[in-house]
Amino acid sequence: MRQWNCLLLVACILMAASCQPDDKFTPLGKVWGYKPIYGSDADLFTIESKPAREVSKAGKIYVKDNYIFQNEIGEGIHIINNTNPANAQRVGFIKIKGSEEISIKGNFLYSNNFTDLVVADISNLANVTEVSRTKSAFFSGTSQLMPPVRGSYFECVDASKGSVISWVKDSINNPKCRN
Amino acid sequence: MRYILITGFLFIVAACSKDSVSNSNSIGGQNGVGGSLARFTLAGNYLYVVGDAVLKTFDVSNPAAPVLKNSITIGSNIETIYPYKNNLFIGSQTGMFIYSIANPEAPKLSGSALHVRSCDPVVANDTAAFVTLRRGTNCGTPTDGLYLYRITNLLAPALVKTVPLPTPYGLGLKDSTLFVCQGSNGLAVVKVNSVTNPTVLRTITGNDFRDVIPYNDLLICYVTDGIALYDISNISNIQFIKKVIN
Repeated sequence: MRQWNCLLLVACILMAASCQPDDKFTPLGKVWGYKPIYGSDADLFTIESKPAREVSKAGKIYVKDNYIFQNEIGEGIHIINNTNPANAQRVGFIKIKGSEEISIKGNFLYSNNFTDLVVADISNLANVTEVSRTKSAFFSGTSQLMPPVRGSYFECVDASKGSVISWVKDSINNPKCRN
Repeated sequence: MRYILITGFLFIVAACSKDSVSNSNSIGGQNGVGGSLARFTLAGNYLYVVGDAVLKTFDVSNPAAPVLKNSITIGSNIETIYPYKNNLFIGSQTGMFIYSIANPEAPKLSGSALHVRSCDPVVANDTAAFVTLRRGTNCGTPTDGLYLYRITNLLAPALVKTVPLPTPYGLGLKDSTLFVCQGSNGLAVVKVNSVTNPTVLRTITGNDFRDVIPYNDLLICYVTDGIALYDISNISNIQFIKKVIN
């Protein structure tokens, strides 16, 4: 018990934010919650074309002209050439980490890169480029130190990894923090 | 109250006149078409986004540079947004909200229908809104099924019929045919010419269906391992075309 309290204290200091001290601490196992994304990892905010890849966590769909787009949850967007539905196939992938949403107007694709709204030029599907970004457009919490949805479990913030710039929903193991 | 009635009347008059906002669910044109589970939707030159509790409006007249115009709190546990003509149909875990976008920069609540806590995407046409409710770990415990609301008065959607369907997810509407995803229980094809008397024509099995987009004669299905395509040119003889998976 003493050890737990000590860990809790350390965790709270690291977080520099409130967590609900709870002396039950029954291990929760794997639950849905939020993981912090640290600003040091620029790769997480790079949008680019990639070769077609396998579907692993299939997400929402969108259709524009002869193409179908399907989200790969948290990873990006599959591009499917549907010119001839009988021969529809994946032809490419747009890397957008943390992505779950798709909308397209003309040659511009809107998605979320974690909590940023990003616009990508898709006029050349083999070379998709970011054209604008609205930082934290979908961040609905009160502080970046806390995940956006109240009452959710989250992986406690480790300040030694840098500052938190976003949160991603994921399955997390025995979380010790909840907002 | 009087103000609400007058506003509602004006809104209905506006809704009956020529659409000032193009329907983003129409096929062709600048905007693409999304499914019923979306949190992003385009209507004309505006991108509407629902977060957990907030509806945000971005002006995308210059599509490369969205400008935030409006942000309103609309409840909690918001899950989906579906545009139809001058309205946004918003599904939340506590009910369906109808927002008028007659003024596209400032969506305005016109009607709502609350229900027991559940997961609920919405699609709609001129006279009806179709909602699926599914019980689940995060979604309360209603009776699984398709809920049909008459929306001839948008200020007061009226529940007119419930069709029990197992584990319903997303749904799509083509003319008077509704396609309801039922996860591993298949895809129900429901005739909805009459809101009070919907008929399940058949259930297509063989995939774990999550959402659909009817696109001309093609039904594009989000299945858990990718995409499945069906030919829906003849509703009484729907043909499987192709699966795009691993």
